[in-house]
Amino acid sequence: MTDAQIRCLTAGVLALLGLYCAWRLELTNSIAHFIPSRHQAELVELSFELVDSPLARRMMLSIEGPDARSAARELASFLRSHPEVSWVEAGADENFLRGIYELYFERRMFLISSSPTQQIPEMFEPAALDERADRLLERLSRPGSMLEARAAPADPLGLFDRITQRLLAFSPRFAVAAQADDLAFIMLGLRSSPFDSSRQSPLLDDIEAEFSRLNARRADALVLEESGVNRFAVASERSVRSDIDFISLLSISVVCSLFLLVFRSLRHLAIAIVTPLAGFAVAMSVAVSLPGPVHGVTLGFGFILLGVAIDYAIHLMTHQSLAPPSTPPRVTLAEIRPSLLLSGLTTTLAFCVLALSDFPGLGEMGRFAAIGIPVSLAATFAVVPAFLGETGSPSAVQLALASAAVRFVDWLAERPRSIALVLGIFALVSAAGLPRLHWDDDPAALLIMDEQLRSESERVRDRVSDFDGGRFVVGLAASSEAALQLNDEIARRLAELVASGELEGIGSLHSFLWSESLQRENLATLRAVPDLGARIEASFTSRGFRPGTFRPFVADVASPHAGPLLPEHVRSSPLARVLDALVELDGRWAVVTFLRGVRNGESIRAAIGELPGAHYVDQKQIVAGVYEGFRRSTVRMVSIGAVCVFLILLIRYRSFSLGFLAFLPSALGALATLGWFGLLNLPVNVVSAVSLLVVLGMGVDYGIFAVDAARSPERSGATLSSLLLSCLTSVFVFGVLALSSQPALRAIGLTTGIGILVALALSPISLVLARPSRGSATPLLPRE
Amino acid sequence: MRPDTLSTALGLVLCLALAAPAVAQEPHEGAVAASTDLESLMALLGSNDGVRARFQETRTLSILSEPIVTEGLLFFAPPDRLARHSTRPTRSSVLVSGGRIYLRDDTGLQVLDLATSEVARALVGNLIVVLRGDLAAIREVHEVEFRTSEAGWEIDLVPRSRSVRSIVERIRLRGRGGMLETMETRERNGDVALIELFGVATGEDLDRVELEAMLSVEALRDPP
Repeated sequence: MTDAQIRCLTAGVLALLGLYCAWRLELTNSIAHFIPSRHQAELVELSFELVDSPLARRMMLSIEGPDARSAARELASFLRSHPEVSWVEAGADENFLRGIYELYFERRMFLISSSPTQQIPEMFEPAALDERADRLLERLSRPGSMLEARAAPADPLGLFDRITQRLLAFSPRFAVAAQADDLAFIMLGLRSSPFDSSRQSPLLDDIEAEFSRLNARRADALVLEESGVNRFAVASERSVRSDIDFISLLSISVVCSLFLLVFRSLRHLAIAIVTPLAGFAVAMSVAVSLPGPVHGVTLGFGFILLGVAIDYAIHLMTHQSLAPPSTPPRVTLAEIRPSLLLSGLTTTLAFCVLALSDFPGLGEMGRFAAIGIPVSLAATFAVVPAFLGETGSPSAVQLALASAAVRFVDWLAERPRSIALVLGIFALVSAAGLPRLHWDDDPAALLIMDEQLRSESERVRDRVSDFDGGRFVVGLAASSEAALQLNDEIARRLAELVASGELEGIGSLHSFLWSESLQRENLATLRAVPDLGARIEASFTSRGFRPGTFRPFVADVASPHAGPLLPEHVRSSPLARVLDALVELDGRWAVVTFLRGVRNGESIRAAIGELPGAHYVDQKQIVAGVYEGFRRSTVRMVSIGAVCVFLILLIRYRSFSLGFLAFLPSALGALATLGWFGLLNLPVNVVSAVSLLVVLGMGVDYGIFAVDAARSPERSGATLSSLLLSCLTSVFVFGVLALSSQPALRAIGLTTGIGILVALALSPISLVLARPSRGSATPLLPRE
Repeated sequence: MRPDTLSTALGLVLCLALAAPAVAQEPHEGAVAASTDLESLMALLGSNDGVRARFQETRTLSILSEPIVTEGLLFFAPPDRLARHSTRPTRSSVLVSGGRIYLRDDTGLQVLDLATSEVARALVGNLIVVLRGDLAAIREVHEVEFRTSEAGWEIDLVPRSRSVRSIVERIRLRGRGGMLETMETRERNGDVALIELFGVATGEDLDRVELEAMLSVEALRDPP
């Protein structure tokens, strides 16, 4: 096959694979991908699915200032017609109140008490009835008691009031707003995911614009504050995009400049990219061909592999440039093939070890690398020579680099103390810093949060006594009625924690809807009260009420105008949204109870511990645990991978010293990087752990090429200059991420940047120490 | 919103309506003659620049054997501020100002936005236009019947709004010359509220400082 045919075939295959991947690609970002335990994964998956809608898909707006309420009404009216808003709540208007009344008043006999057999008989004790009669009389004497007088005959015991008290307990913001005419709240539901910044950004802009318009008519006297996950997501996305734009520009500019400087041609850059692109395309094609979606992290990992695999092409191109004139690329390739093969093998092995991890996500990354690296290497052998063509003259920069490298190696060879000093420094940094290393497994540490947004969000949430994000109780049952029964008990137990001060409050569906069995128990207990009518008559008439006034209530007890409250009744009422907390998932029913002011998670676990189907979920704790486990597994796999790589090197070189010298740059590079972090008190995280793989993979390549060059002195200059170009390319692809404001990207940049720079610095030392005779290297002869 | 806000919202505006002094002036020569027709009476009502009066409200409820008697003070400042401060049997205050109703009692302060309640809006709006003597606006929301006799004059207001009429059957104002003496509200369920006014002060007899203080939202938030 001719070179032209190979080029065409390569371009065609890559294009086809690209189209295939785009057609088949289905991405997931499920955190369960990184949880080894199936049960735990199920619970976390369930928890994220349950709370995605109610808490994350909403915003809270607070307007403060004169005429805040009318401004809030106007803003709410605007938001109701916005395409990205699914619902708006802006205080309890007449329709809402009427809906509450129609839903609950005729069902008041079913919703008296969570402990009916205890509390209902107590309500009918003479002293309790007398107290109730006195209270009713007092309320009738107050202004605004007109409707109280009308409702009393059917509800002397204030059963409807008890229901409205429970509704208020769920959401105190109504109480806050009712007592302040210069403060108003709006809550709105988001139609799209809060993380979809393409939709959330225009919504946020529209809210600001509309508020500015309303405020201008009020002499700009109002202040709007907002709380919502979407604000952080949009701000984060803007920050990341801004970072990436700058970093990408810098990276592309420098890498292009490097290639122009060294090869005097961007064509070489394009050729170099073919190698990792081939590996990525094939690995991704296999991944999308398997059942199930590809995880987003795997996709990101695949891009990292680009930076590793591009080195193979850089080595070939550099050696080809510095080869004698008219040397065919395949001849150059044959000379460095053993080094490339060993590099590819060791790098593949280092990443493949991930496939042994308990974490499905790590396994997927390992399998991706196991395919991508060998394919990249194969592309270097089979395809790159077809693009390169025969040797032209090397650039002046290449010659200068090669010569300088040779001189440097010779200089270093004559200074064994310098070598010892450098090795000693890195070893000392590792030894001193590693024990001080601090692993930060808090997932929040991977994201930068705008402090102003965070403060504003906390102020709004404090005003409305909002629920804690990420902490809740889940009840799982086989049917909706069973879930409601379980929820009745969960609510009862959590109410005890509120009473004891372990919790500030709970947001339970129990405030709105009880199980049918509990409701029927209420009515049955009420009907079982002996001489119910006579007792009420005796107490109330003694307090001044007319005899016979409360016959309507007695009649309603005997024959209620409505049956128990069922989910379908709530669904067709203004309170329909509360049913977001009761969902059917894979044939089971789940009910969520939100928590406010959790002081001690263990007390909640203890309270619901032995209740079948009840679970306390602390998402932050779970995710932190996931991250820690993932990090530990990654570090373990990296360590195992390093040991396997070392064994391969020993087998290849059949010499402990040579094997060790080939391993030195990667091993000491990784250890010294961690050591620096420890000494500088920089926390490391799961992203740093994954980045160590890159350091290991690339560092071992440097060591292999250095040791092989020691045994082929004529290639020393080419080898070291190719290592330098490879390192600089990697630094400006990965290392510049250290400039990002995003902690996750910064971790990748610092770990890989420092690691591969240290590996590069150690490569000449490996070369010098690996020389058989310790004599001077013969520099690569320039063309004459 | 407090649990009893719905009933409070509707009830308190009616109580304000019940207690409002439609007119409070000592009869004078010109006024006696002018109050023989409704238009003249409304013009007289609209000429007030503030009112202070003691009131006694007797509410006869069908569910109680004995009526409930409430006493206190009323204040009005045109065009639309009205306050009722009850002293017996319990202390409470109701204030209408700036499109809102403020209710303070021993349980705390409630605020109701008139824009959120059609019934409240109708009743308070109705009350305000009566105090302003705005006959056209009164006729818009009520059927009006005016009668005179040797004992004085009588105005019957029957709400046109179905939702208001479902609660209130009629409001009857009685007076003599330019003075309102009683206001009686009869509800559909037979309950009756009768307001009697005493010691009415208007015009130069008013203590403006006291008037402003009693009609102040701030005073309601932090009562002495």
